[in-house]
Amino acid sequence: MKRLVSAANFLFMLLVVLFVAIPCRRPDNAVETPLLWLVGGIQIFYLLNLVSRKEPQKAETVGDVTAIGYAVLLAWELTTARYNLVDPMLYPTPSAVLQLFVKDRADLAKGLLSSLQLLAGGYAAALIAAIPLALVIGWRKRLFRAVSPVTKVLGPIPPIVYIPYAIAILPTFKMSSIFIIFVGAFWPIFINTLNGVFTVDRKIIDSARVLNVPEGTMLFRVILPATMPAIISGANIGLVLSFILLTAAEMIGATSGLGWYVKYFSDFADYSRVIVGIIFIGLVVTVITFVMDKLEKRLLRWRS
Amino acid sequence: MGRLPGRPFAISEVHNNMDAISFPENITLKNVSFSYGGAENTDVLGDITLSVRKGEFVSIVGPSGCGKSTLLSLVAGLNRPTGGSIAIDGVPVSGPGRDRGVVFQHYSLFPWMTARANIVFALQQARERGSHRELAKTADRYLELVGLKEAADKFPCHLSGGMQQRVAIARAFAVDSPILLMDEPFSAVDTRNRVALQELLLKLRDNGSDRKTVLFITHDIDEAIILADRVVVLSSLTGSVREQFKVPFSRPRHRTPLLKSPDYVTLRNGIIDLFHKDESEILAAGDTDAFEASAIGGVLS
Repeated sequence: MKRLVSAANFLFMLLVVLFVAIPCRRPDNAVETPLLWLVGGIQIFYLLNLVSRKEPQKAETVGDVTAIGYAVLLAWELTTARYNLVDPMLYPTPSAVLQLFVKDRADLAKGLLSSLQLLAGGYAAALIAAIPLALVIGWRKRLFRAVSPVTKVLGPIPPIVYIPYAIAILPTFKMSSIFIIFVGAFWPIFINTLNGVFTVDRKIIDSARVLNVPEGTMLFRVILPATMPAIISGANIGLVLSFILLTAAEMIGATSGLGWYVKYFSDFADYSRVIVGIIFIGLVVTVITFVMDKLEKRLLRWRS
Repeated sequence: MGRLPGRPFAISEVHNNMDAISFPENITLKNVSFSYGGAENTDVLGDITLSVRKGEFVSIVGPSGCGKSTLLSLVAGLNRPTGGSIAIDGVPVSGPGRDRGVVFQHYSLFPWMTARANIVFALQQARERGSHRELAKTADRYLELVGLKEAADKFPCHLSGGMQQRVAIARAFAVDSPILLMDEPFSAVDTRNRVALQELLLKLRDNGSDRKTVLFITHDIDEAIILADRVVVLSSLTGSVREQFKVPFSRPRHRTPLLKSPDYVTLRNGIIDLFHKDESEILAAGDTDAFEASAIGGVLS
């Protein structure tokens, strides 16, 4: 019973009271039932978590995150729908955004698919090119010493500056986007892997050498796993950069995709849809980061 | 030693070799020197001449900085000597080989492989025939032998230092190289586990049909004596063999009575005296007040 006394539960009650007691003052507001369903769903999820979790700290964190979500929603709902304190055109109500979310789901899905194609193409190409190349170069000390200064010059160039040039030299927008994402993700992955290979503990290499391993085995079964922590941290930076570049490229020249969705509707001053787009991108990034986290834990389960 | 490499060992040339006369020479180091290059004073090994017979257990001790680990890395083929020659069964060493298994103090195991996978990997590298499943079975058998059957699926980070070294030993015996090179393998392990590991090592070595030749680096004099047939003391001043001691105790050795026996104490003190002499000579060789240094040396020795 004691666990039920929490910020999340308090804010949930407050939200319910607010919906019932304070009348809506925004004529443009959508039907509010779906939002109530959503909040109810979140609350059920939270309560289930509360009773089923064995680790008290994790349950606590879930509760705190839920509370933050409720607090934001509460503030948003109060300033827009309930008291109408801000410009209705710039600040849509939560219910209106949710309604558009449902209404535009087909467009959003199509945009997601188009964006993911670009992202997957560029990012996968960066992984495939950067990792083996860095393994070989990092392993050959002389090559490493030659290439390292070059990476220090080329690496820090913000990849966004390549966008206009890429659009000019490549035949389609799709290709230039993939190229930009590739360049953006390549450097962090490449540089991290390179330095990771170079700093692999001498003792690990010696342990492999005394087993008389051939070169290929050394690179891919010893150096590669030993470098995996560095590769993953590079891959994470690369992914974040890829996302930034993807949306930037889409806002500049695409005719579909998530970045395009936001840019297109802001041109029409349809800020409700702009917010829909932003929230959707946030959700997509969250899901991808979640998957990457799981992958990282799996790949590095030998560390702890 | 003016013997041709590879010729069977006929008459012992080391003054204190008494048994094992008919055993052939296995590891031969002739005037081996090594330095990391650069300035003149960086000589790590000056002039090492040493031979180890097949099936012999030789401990190498010496003050820190005398280059004992370097010596082992040369025999393992990880480094090439700057001068002199190293041969295994008369064949010059040109690099690592499957005739020599090595156990290090740290990182003998690959942290990203489970205990079993570490052994299987080593077996694969040793061109051991058999499917992955068969090799895994071999691995499990050796893990059981060192009392770690349950740890087969664990990663090294989930094993204690002593357990990790057990796995490393299991791996070395699974690969079954005739020569075992060990570089302070038990130094990072607490005393109780160290004793258990020493006994395990001797037990496994006695189990096999062919007794492995062991070159064992340690800074623990008790460990050196209890395990070995011969203790080689290196000098940090000259980077060469200072003296060799035959260990006369029969096997199996029983630790507690052995540590108390007068012969043991005499042998142990003899080695410790050498260590002190070495230290005082270093002092004397330094460019501090030579007179005072030699006076201290006189007191120490």
